[in-house]
Amino acid sequence: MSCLHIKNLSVQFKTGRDTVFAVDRVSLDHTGGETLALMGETGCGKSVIANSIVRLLPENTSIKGEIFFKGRDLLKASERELNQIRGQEIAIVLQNPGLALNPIKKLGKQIAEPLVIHKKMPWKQAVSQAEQMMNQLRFTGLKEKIKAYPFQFSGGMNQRVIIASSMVLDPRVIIADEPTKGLDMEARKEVMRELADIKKRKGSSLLLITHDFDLSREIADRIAIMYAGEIMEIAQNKKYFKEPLHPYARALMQSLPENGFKPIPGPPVAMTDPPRGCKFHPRCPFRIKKCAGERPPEITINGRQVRCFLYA
Amino acid sequence: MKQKAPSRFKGLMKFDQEAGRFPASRAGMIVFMIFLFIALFAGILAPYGPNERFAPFESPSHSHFLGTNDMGHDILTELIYGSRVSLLVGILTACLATGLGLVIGLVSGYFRGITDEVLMAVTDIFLMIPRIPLVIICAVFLRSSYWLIILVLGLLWWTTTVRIVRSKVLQIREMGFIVSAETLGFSKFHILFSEILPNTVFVIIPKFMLTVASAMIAEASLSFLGLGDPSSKSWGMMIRYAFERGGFIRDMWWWYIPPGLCITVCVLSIVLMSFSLENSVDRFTDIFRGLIPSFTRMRRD
Amino acid sequence: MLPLCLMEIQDVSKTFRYGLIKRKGRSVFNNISLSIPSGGTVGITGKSGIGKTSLGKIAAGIIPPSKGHVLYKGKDIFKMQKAEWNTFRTKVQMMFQDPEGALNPMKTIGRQFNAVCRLMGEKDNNKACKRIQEVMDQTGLSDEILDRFPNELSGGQNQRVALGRVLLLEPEIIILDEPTSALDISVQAQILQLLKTIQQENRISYLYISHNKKLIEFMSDTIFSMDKDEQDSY
Repeated sequence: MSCLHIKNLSVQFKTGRDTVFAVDRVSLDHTGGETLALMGETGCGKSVIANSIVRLLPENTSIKGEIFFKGRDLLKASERELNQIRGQEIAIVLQNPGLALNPIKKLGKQIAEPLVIHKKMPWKQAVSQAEQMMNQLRFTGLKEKIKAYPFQFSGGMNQRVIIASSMVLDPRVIIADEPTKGLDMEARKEVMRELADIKKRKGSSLLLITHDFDLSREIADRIAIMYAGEIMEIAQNKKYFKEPLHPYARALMQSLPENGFKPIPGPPVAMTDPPRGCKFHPRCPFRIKKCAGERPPEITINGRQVRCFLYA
Repeated sequence: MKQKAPSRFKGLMKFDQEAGRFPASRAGMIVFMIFLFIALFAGILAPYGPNERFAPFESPSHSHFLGTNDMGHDILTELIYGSRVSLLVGILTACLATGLGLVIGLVSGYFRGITDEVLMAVTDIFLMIPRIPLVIICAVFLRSSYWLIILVLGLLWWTTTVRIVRSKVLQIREMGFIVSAETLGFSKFHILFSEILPNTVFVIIPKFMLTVASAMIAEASLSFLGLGDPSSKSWGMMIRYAFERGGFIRDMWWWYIPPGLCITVCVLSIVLMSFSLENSVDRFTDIFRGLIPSFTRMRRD
Repeated sequence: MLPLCLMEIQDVSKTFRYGLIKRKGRSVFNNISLSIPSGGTVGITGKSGIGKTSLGKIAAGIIPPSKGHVLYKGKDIFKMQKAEWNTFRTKVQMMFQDPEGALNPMKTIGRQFNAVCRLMGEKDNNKACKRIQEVMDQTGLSDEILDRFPNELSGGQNQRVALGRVLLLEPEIIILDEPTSALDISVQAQILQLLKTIQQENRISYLYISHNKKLIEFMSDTIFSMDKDEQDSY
């Protein structure tokens, strides 16, 4: 089974006079067929990791580390090799996928496009294959939808269309970056159902980047929570939501509406000047002297991984 | 505590850095700076006084690098002093045209409704008026001078600026901070000039530059037609005199080609500068904002 | 002691008309009535697109209702004299969903605060600075943001700035239109706590608009739901 293996990934951006330390020595394993939710708040680096995998980062980026996919280090692959991989083997659905739809082209054609480009299929065949796939994914009233334009549908519908079109080449890994961002409750539910469906039918691996707790709870197998460019905890879905171990994960749960909106003290971390040692220590109620000096190691407890001295 | 001088300097350095991304623009900027420098320090740079007379119709030589004209004036001196007139007319016309266009565009775009309709109708009327013929007619009945050119061209050229400003204002007025400003209770006047205007800067500046360029060409054409001010010589006027007073016939290329070249090169440099501005608005936003004096420094000490 | 009723929305309806000749109407909502007491929070909830923002804007006096009245301290705001309107404008404020959108992208935060001070008629620089400092302390902002532009600040910081600006005017009512829905979860929790604290310290009434039921329940004393099947207050 395919497997994505990220080893010691560090990403930095230079903007003017500042350097943004977006990702700091992240290691992650994504096994085939599983849905891994990479969660965290704005600026924690989760989108950067997604973009690093398919190498869609801007020019002034320095990347260190390795990302193994099917035995190959993607960070050392050539642009041509990557073009082969992108779309066919690793599909990425970027933020605001609805915006990725060309408003003046019919939906059917846009879904069929990857087939025409990558598999060099003739248009008619591609469109009919796209139709078949849309059938599978429970798009009702198909005939009209294929011939329709994006603006005739809601945001949620367009989002689902993009996700569907990313499936058309049967990729091994799908990376979905904030697929429910900007959608209201109804549309969110639609997209959630869509992703859950894909997971069941295709058995592809899904790397879900999100800050939407409901989405992760619904469909993720494992949860990895990030803060300030580091992964703080990785755990099985049920175990994580029942009882998170890392102080940040705990504090974040307490901020949720169902737990009373209890705020985490202190300002969010500035990515241009992150704290030394444990990145969360200035805001942590359990901090000890060690936390300000050393970076906590990743500790394995009961099949989970936590980066905190509390569990050392 | 930020000092005022370094932050402005940094801003200009960044401008150069930014312009450097497009080598043509950097060249444009440097050339334009040279022309500005020449215009400002004409008195020091010119080899002779503007009214000093020598033997007429001389070819280029050691003492007269570009020879002399029919009145015996040194052509190089004329060229250098001419830069002042040409640039001044260009810049003042652009100021008038852009200023008018800015105000009308702001008012029209923000207030909309009947004000907008009326102002746009007026703009359309002005658009129909042919500029050069109007200047010619005015020049016939009034004393021809550069102020006439500046006034007439300025009062006719605001039309293109108005449309650009108006569409930008239509965009801006829908933005959240305008609604916020209205809710906070700011007067419409404040919103127009203090909130909306700074956001139109990146539309105005390239337009201003291009208007300077167009105005310089227009002035040169009008001077060549004999409608310029005979007392202060612009580059266009120099070409006119070369034509009128026998420079063309005598093949005195050193008389009419340098001013023509100057006009062309100067206009080109301005256009190239405005290209880089249009191409990287985001980066120039940072530079522009770096030039605004620090609030804390202003208020705290 | 009954709380003083600051604002009353009476039988307000809104229809948006479009089309040049045949002015077609799209009715957003009909006959909404509610009142905002002094110092309390009234929550407005409902699905997206149901007209909550329009109702908020009507209450803030930004757009007029098609039918009905909005009374501030007993007077209809759309029929007020200039002086009364100016007072209303100062005392009733609104905060919006997009934190960065509420601020002028070409002005530093310091200048934006200062502009509001001058609006209040504060000509003395020192007093203005003092007032700005007070408001920044209340909203948890540090000095260094004064020289920054809105796009250099985080969403949470921008929302604090927006709140600070509003507080400079010493309002009595703030209408909040989903102020935290664009923010991260932990930042949202911080802002909500801040809003509660400020409400107590400054004795301000809130009209809180959100589609999130749990949020509304957390923030409000009384809730008004605009969903068609639940149009009642509870």
